[in-house]
Order: sequence, then structure tokens, then C-alpha cells
Amino acid sequence: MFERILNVLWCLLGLATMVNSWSMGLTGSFGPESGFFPFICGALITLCGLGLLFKGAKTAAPNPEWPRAAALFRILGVVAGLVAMAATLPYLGFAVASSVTTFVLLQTVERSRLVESLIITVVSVAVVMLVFGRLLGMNLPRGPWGW
Amino acid sequence: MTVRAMFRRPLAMTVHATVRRLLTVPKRPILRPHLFATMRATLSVVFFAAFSLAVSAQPAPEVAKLKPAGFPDQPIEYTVVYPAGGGVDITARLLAKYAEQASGDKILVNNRTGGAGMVGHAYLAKQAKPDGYTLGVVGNNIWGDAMLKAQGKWALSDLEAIAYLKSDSLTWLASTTGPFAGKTAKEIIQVAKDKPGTVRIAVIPGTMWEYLIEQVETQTGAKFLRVPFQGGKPAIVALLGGNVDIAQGFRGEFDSFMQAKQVTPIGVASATRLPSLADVPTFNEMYNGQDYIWRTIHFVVVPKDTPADRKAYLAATIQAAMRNPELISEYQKLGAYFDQSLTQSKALAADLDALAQKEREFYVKTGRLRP
Amino acid sequence: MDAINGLMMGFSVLFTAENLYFCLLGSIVGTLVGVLPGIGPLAALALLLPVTFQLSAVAGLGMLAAIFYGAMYGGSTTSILVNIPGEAASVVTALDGHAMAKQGRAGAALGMAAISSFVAGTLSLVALTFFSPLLASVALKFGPPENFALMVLGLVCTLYMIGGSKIKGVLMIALGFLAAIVGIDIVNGQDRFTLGTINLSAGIEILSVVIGLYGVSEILMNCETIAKNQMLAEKIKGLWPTFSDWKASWKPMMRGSFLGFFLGLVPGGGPVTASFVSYTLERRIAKDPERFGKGAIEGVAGPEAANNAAVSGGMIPLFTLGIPGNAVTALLLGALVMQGVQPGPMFITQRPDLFWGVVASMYVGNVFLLLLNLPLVGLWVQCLRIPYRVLFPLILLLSIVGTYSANKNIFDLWVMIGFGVVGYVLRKLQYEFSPFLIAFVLAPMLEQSLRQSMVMSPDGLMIFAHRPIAAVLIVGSLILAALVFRQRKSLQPTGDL
Repeated sequence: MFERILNVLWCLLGLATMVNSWSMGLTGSFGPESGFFPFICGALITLCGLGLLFKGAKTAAPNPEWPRAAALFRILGVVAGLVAMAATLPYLGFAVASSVTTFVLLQTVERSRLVESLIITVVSVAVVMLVFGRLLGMNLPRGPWGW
Repeated sequence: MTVRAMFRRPLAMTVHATVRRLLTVPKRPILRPHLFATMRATLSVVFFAAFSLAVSAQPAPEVAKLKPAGFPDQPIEYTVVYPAGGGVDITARLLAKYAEQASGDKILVNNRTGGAGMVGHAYLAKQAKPDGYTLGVVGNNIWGDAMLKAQGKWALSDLEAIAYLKSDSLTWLASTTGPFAGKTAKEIIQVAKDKPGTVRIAVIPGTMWEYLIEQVETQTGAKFLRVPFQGGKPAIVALLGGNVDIAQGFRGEFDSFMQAKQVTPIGVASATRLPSLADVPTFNEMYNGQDYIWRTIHFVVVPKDTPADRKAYLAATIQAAMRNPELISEYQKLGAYFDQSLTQSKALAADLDALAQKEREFYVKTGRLRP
Repeated sequence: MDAINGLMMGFSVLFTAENLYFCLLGSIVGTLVGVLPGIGPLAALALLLPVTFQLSAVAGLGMLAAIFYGAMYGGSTTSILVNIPGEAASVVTALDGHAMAKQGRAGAALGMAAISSFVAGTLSLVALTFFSPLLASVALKFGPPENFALMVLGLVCTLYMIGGSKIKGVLMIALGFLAAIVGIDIVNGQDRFTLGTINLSAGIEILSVVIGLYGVSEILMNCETIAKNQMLAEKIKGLWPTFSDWKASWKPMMRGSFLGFFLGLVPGGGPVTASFVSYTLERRIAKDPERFGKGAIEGVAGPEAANNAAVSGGMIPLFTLGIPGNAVTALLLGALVMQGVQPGPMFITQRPDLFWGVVASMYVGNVFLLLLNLPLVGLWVQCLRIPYRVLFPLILLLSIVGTYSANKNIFDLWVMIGFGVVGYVLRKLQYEFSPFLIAFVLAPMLEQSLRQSMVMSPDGLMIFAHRPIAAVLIVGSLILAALVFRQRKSLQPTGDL
């Protein structure tokens, strides 16, 4: 079921690409224009999407095991953590954003013990900051407190 | 230590044991911990030395007296909108080296690349904080970007020029082998007129490369076959491989090939003949015109609203660097020349603006821009 | 100056404390940067470029070059250990390397990767030493039609990498092209598919794609299945390749070196393309290709040799013509210019001391790297015994910072996360990523060459027939493509499309 939705999505994406590239122009006085290549890609995508839709039974992945309950929670947790980190990085700076995210992830997603989480967080963040900040001389984002 | 044992012991002991095992197990030599520490120390020392070398130099007096209180307290960033290793990048790094010597401040060159410069230009115009810690080393293609591509998101008035660096004129090149070897520009253009679409010329679309071709075509009725490229070097490669008949480029790009007698310049788009290319005619000469002037101009900008004292200090730093004979000779080795009207200018921003306006007129005249 | 004399001079120039020390330093930094997922030699070179200004030319260039090929040594490490590529050029190594690690044979995989890298590095340097001027003219012969034909060949190779549904594979190729198109059209400056944002005008960063698609999705897959105290490999079966490993690997090593060298030499090639083509070749030639993807050591030896050889190949246009083939060699060019040298056709004759000194440093650097990486195998293998929950925050953070290091733009992180989630879903549905990645890498050059060729050609597509090299490559691609369909039929009796 899910795959079928995905295949329809591919078709839509392909069609949208074709329309968009058509408006960019396919060929001009100097040879293929901007839209030429994307148009072909869009056509390919649409064709493949259609092919997958029609050959549904043969191409679909046999029993994709979607995660349930605990596993789903862990995955969503990690994704949420990554999103939180990307969102807060410019404001809190690397040190704080990553420490908080790592700690929260370890506590909730991995359900590690408090002390463990703290140690792992501190060590991981420290190692990363050392390697990138000091050794390689990169400027990691700083928070409003200067580090 | 078995897996089960790892399960039973509390974490701290586990970690300790693991680490100890990591560092003492080997049947083959592993870098010992203290060696690691020494190496890291060396690295840090080297980097520190490399960076602090510049900081310990004595600042020039005329720069020191303009230094605002408490500024700078962090490194100053020279933003380059092109990838590291390219022409503008090298210009910026050379400048940074000598500006550090002239001022004693720490300077970092940062490449903000993407979108053929669009990302970096937009950053400088709109996102960089006007606090004197960010300035941009840019070329005059920022004018075209602002007028034709920015689509209202930023404008030239968001930036202010504070120093002029150098110029390099656009030059047409022919190969020393092949069907057009030994011909002059006028002869080749004549062929392009007699047999339209057969003479292949390299072009970077949307840049002065294209504009110069257009001017020549309009003037003479010739018609070239324009093969698109991304930069000067790929075009020269194509010229050497016989894939185009004329390449365009700047001295810095073709100098080594000229010395190796593989390419020869046939026309220069400058106001008068360049002293370094005294026997190469200018397009102005060839067609009795005044508008065949296309060159890159490298200059330094800051976001507008940067405080006046910091602006003056930064300008003085760069001008002091530009007086350093070593930097001048490095830039000359890169094929640049120094446009006297800009080096002596008393109102640089206004002069550059005037040049930008001339370019704007060209865009309007050729229908690229509505007046 | 003939090659042997030059090389002797190079070694004499090289053997000073400063030059050797920085060669070693570059090797270490290169390995480190290769191991760290995300950050690659390009970022490290850009960061360390200013340091070289204070050094002698040989020391500075030697260090930068060592970082470049050192990263090819280290990149396979995380690919093999945790299925997260350290480099785009090590994506292919993960396919069989990680399978070997799961079988407890990580040591053999890591060891063979290091040795292949060394053999390829040294052999390709020998070719560079003796044949540079000759090869320079080869590089010049590759104009737009030849480049296009080469890209087509690379593309056909991806068809071989499609193990499962072919339609899904072609779909991924088309998507890869599309992803590469997002950005500004270099030919006429028009925005394509950028949705009006400046961030997308810059295009999609390849690191975001690699780390997101392979790294983040891998972490998500592991989150699902790995229990709390589980490690990545329960048993370690020896640290060294076995005799049968050697027997199986030495030919792929040779082939990979040869192939990688030429793919590095021509414009538009490079270590990434070289590794993919090598893998394809090994799989095509193997008597029992079903082993690939399940721990075939040829799938490690070949690509690792290819990506190292491609580095030396890429140096040839740089030194003999002053033309950089990719972003890293462009940086090396910049470093040379900053040292007051103008690389170009006269470079070798004007500065033989510098050229041969750097070549000598590359020989020595490869030795350093072998001596550095082999003992480290033991260390890395022990890492597999660390409980995953201790490793994974570190891997996650390193991936994030590594991706961020490319453009210092938070937007890249969002792209990474997006690709990670989509990658996870697609993995579940048995889509493969290798076709996507290689299409993404090849697309810009492919499109540009096609358009240039079309413009140059008076008679449309027939230009490819007029140019011998291009014609040969295209015919070769067509033959290979036809063979793909034949082989697939025999591999999968169900006729599954």
C-alpha cells in the first residue's frame, strides 16, 4: 500500500519536473537549453513510476518490516534529536546544542543510566570539539556566551 | 574480557577496562598514548606558531593611529565568494598575509561558495553583520550579479567599497598551432564574418566574455560559434586540444601557456595597450571605439552601516598592505596591473560606482535591463 | 631532465627534517580526515592552506598532497566498520567491506584496503614518474565529446550495480540527475528547481547526500535493531587477510590501479568515479558475482586501489599543464601560486626541484600511510567491541559536524536529515543508493559536455561518430549496456524487472 503511494508520488514528481523544464525551454539557438536534461529526467521518473505501479507485485519489496512501538519510538527520537540540533545550532552554539541533544537522546531513546549518559555526552562532545575545533582549526558555531 | 562480563560490570569500570585494553593489547605495535599526546602537542604548536607568527609583527604607524579602541578582539574575516585556490581566493590570501603584517591583527580567509558567487554576494549584502569583522574581497562581476541576477533580494547599495586592489584585462587568445596560428584578431574575425558559425570561441555565458563577443559581432557583422565553458582554464584546455579556435582569459590564467609558446594573445579589451603586452592591439584600436573595455577589477567591500572609524581602519590596513612592494610584485606575477585612476582615487566608492553605471548602460543598451 | 635523475634529485630535496615531518603530518591529518565521516580532503586542505605559506614549497605541497591521498586510505575505515562512508570515494567499499566486518573479518578488510591503497598509490606514482609528458597530451585530447562519452560509460557501469529491481535502479539514476541539476545552470545562469531560495541556488552539497543517505539512514536502521549492549561484531576472526584473500585480491588491485589512474587523469573523472567503475568491473569479471555485496574481498581491493590511483592521475594535468581536474587539485594549484610558482607547461622544466620533490614526497607518504594504517587495524577492530550505544552519539556528532564543515551552512544539515529520513524509507523498500550517487556525481559534467558538444557540432549527435575516442567509448558503453540485460537474465531466473 505504502509502496503504491510512493509510486504515485514518483509519477507526480516526474510530471512536475517535465512541466517545469518545459517552461525553461528545451532547445535554443545554441543547442540544448536549461530544460533539456531535466525534461528527460522527469520523463524517466514518470515512466519508472508508471512501470512500478503496473508491475506492482513483482517489484515491491517483500514485506518491508516497518518498525513498531519501541523501535519506532527510537527512530523518531533520533530524527527529532537531529532536527532539534540543526534548529538550535545557530542560536545555542555547538557545545550546548550538541550536549543537550546527545544527553536527551541518551536518556529517552536509549534509556541509559544518568551517569552513563553524562559521561558519554561529555566525552563525545569534547572529542568532536577537540578534533574539529583545535586539531583542524575549524570555527564551530558559538552561542551567545562566546563558546 | 567476555561479553557477559561487560554486561555485569558498571559502566565506568567497563570503559576503563576497554580503554586499557585498547591501548595495551596489541600483538603488533600501536602508537602509544604518550606518542599520541606528543604528536597532538606538536600539531597544536605548529598551528599556533603558524597563526601567531603574523600577529607578533609590528603594525605600521599610519595604521596604528587609526585603530579604534577595543577593535578587533576577534579575527577579521575576509570573505571570498569563490572556491579556495581560485584567482580571487589567491588575491584575498595574499592580501590577508600582508594586511596582517601591516596591522598586527589576525585575519581569516573564508570561502562562502555557491551559485557562481550568488550565495556569497547575498551573504555580504544582507546577512553579514556590519560590525567591521566581515569584509568581502570581490570582483566587478558583482555589479552584473546585482543588476541582473539578484532579483531584488540585494543591491549594490547594500555594500560599500573601501579599497581597490588590482585589474586584469580580458584578452583573446589563439593557439600557436592549428588553422589560425599566426593570424591577427582582425583576420580571424574576418573569417567569422565570411563563414558565419564556423569559428568557435569560448564563452562563459552571462559574463563579460559574452558581452565582448557581442560587441565585436555587432560592430563587424561576424558570427561566432559560442561554446560555453565554466572558466578560463577549461577554455584554454579546449584551445590547446583544438576544440575551440579562440579562447578568452586573463593574464593570470594564460601566462604560463604564453611563456610555453602554446598560446598567443591577439587582442586586449583595455583602454590602451598594456605595457606587459605592448605588441598586442586593443579592440579599441582595431575598431576605433571606446567601449571595448572589459576587465576584472578586484576590490574590497564592507556591508553598509559599518561604523566609520572601523571602516577607515580597515581601509588604511589594506592600503598599507597595497604599498608593500612584495605584495605588488606578487600581484604582478599574477598578471595584474594597477589602474592608476583607481589607485589614486580620492573617492573610491564613487569612482567604482561610476564604472558600475557604465556597465548598467551597456545592459540597458543591449536590452538586458529595462531602464 | 630524465625521470630517474629527476627522482634522485627529488629524494635529495625531500630528505630534510622539515619536508619529511610535514609529509608525515599530512599523512596523519589525511587519515584522520578520511576516517571522520563527512569532512573530506577538500575541507581539510582549505583549512590548512594558510599553514603552508610559512613552509618551504616542498613541505607545504607535500603536506597537502599527503592529506589528499591519505584521506583515500582512511576513508574506508568507517565504511567497513559501521557502514558509514568516510568519503564519497569510499561508498563502494562499504558494500562488501561492512559485510566482511559483520562476519568478523573486519581486520582482513581493513588490512586489504590499506595494502591496495599502498600498491595502487605507488604504482600510479611510477606511471606519473615516467609517463607524465605523454599522459598530458592524453588529457588534452579529451574535449567535450570525449568527456561526454566517458560519463556515459560511467553511467552504464551503474546499471551493473543494480542488484534488485531494475526499474527502481533507473529511477534512482534519474533522481540522482535531478538532484544534481538543482541549482544554477552554469551555461546560462538560470535558476533551476531552486524554489526561489538562495541556499538551493548553490545546489545540493554532495556531503549532505552521502552522509544523509548512507550515514543517517544507517544509524536509523541500527536504532531499530541493535539491542542495548550489542556490539557491531560479536567475534573477531583474525586481524590479517588470509592467503586466499591475497590470491583473490591481487588482480583486482592491479586492475583497480590501472583503471583508477586513467580515470583520475581525464577531466571529469576522479576517485569517486574510479571506485564505482572498479567495483563494476570486478563484479562483471568475477566468476561468481553473487558473492558481491556479501563480503567479497575483491569488492574492497579493487575500489580502494582505484581511488588511490586516481589521486596520482589527477596530479598529472596539474603539474604538466597547470590545469586542475577537480576542486582539490584546484586548491593545490592555489597553494603553488601562493608559493610564487606559476604551474603550467613550463613548470617541470622551470622548477624540477619542486616537482620531483613533491613526487618523492608522495612515494614516501604512501609508505608512511601504510605503516600508519596497518597497525591501526588492530585499534579499529577493537572499536567494534565497544557497545553501540557508546559509539553512536560520537558517530552522529561527527557526521553532523563533518557535513557542516563543507559550507558552514546549517541548510546542509537540513538536507542531510531529509536525505537520511528518505533514505531510511527507501532502504526499507529495497531501493539502492549507489546508482543515485554516481548519477549525482556524473550529472554536471555529463550535461555540460553534452551541451558543449551539441553547440560545437555542425551535425548534431553525429559529432560523436567523427571523434575516434568518443566513438570507441560510446560503442563500448552500448555493448556493456546490452550485456547488462543479458547477465541479469541469467542471474535472476524469475525475470524480475
